[in-house]
Amino acid sequence: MSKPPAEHSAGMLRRAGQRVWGRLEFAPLLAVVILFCVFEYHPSNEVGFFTSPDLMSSVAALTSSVGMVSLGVTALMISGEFDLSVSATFALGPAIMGWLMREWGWHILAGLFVGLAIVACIGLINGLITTYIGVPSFIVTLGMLFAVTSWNRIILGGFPVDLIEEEGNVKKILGADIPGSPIAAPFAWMVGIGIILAVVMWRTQFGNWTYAAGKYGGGVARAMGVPVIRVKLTNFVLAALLAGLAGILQFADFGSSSVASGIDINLLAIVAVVVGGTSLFGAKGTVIGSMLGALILGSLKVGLIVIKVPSEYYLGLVGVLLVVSAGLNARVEALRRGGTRSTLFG
Amino acid sequence: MSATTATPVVELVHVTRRYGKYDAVRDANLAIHPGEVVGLVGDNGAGKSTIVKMISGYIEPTAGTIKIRGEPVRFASPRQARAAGIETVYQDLAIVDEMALWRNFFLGQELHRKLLGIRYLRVAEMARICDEHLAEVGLTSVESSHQAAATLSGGERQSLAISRAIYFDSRLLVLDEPVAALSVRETRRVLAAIESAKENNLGVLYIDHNMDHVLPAADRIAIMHRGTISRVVNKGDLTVDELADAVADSGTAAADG
Repeated sequence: MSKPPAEHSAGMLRRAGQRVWGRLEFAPLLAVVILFCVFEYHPSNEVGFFTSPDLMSSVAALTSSVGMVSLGVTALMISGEFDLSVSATFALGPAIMGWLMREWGWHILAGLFVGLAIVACIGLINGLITTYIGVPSFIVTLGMLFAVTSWNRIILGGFPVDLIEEEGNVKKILGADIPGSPIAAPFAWMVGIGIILAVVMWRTQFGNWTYAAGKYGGGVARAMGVPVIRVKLTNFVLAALLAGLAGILQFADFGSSSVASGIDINLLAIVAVVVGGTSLFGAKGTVIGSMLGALILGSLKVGLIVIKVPSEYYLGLVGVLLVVSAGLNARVEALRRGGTRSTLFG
Repeated sequence: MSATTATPVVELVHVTRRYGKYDAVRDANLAIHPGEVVGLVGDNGAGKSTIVKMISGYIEPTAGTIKIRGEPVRFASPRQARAAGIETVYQDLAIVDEMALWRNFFLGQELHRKLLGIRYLRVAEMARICDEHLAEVGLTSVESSHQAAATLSGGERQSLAISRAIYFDSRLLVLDEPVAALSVRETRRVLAAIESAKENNLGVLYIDHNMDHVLPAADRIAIMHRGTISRVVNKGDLTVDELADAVADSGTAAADG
């Protein structure tokens, strides 16, 4: 006995709906669309929002720094670890690069690669202390945050460092506007690396191992023969490397960097990651969601100014956004599991 | 074919594991043959978990030898034990809830193609194989191997882990309290999966603190007490009364402990 056709197509519709609803990227994407529309059509807006190239340029610049940092943080959080030191590594990359170019007259590319190599070492040290000595990554990277901030001050001595090679091609590729658009190159770097990382997470063995490493401190993965320590170390290095790269891209875009560069970006990246649907408990999350989360933060900052909300309200709204989206994620998860409450009242 | 004449898949020969002055396991001898289910029963702290950890590569024996198909081995990690064909299913550490069934099924041994040194997953193939094998162990309630493992019941999770061991041609399946906290119906499902592993000629080591759980599945039952294997009962050789005595013995053993 077959089902009536109406019921059958309703079932198909429901399944298709569930597939969209079930994607972690659904909620942040919806939030981006709503924010864009609200800012564009708000009565006190006189300049437009997504129709204004200048404003989109600002949104892209704000999004690309937080977004690039959040990519590595996402992978690391999915594997069950944190990195609070990314704001310091964000400033360390350009500090080393700029210092080498200024003091020793190094070529921009040499400075770039040495900067990235040192930043990667910071990530490796974070990972080694976490995995081998067993100090929680929260503590290790908090300590590293202070240590590297101190090192940045020693290198730069309280003054900003300028990117000397003013009109070189390398600088253009890193930081100039994308030809024919108001958007600076760092945004394209973020999207490009984000898409590559999304494929790695979703379609490679390393990605599969990263998700598994985030469950029960890697217990399941280890029992199944996954080299959990190696997977976590790789993600620690990735988080630091992308933070350093984000700092260097901003350096190339702005032409100067200082110890204050990237301040708070560690926390903003975590906000972007959580708003993007990644779990604080590991094993669940997406890189694309984090980029959307960063886009939400960037749009909010610019959009509030456009609709004439005093800028003092921005951080408050970020806080509300963080808690509300984490709450929604928990509720939606409960709904997906068949309506059982998972947090409130057991 | 008599199971006892074949080379055991795993054999413990005078195995001892010491922690300081305390022997967690003392002079244990046990052999598990292909197609044989051996129950390992004992109270908490009797040394069952220590034996599991040694066989599955988490710790090494202080003295004695572990043989796999007649060859002495030393495992430095669970990865090595798994490569030698030992599949251990822990009560809590079997499945990652958040991941799709096929991802759990192939975790650690993903089918892949190498492109520029990167291992890309062969998703369609893994999903198909996973679907087939889940049906084989009677997991018919599963709609698709793309659904998250969180949707499985306790018994279904154990069955998934067992079907994984069958697919990967494991030699020995180690089950750590597979039916604890399961309903009667769920227990029956897991027992069917164990039977299926047996038919595929795997040796099965079935650990439980409850004799009643082990009895329906096991061919032989080893009873552990304070770190030693105090008795090995051949189920086929015993009458129902004698079995009841054996159960009672393990009960008194537990009471002593």
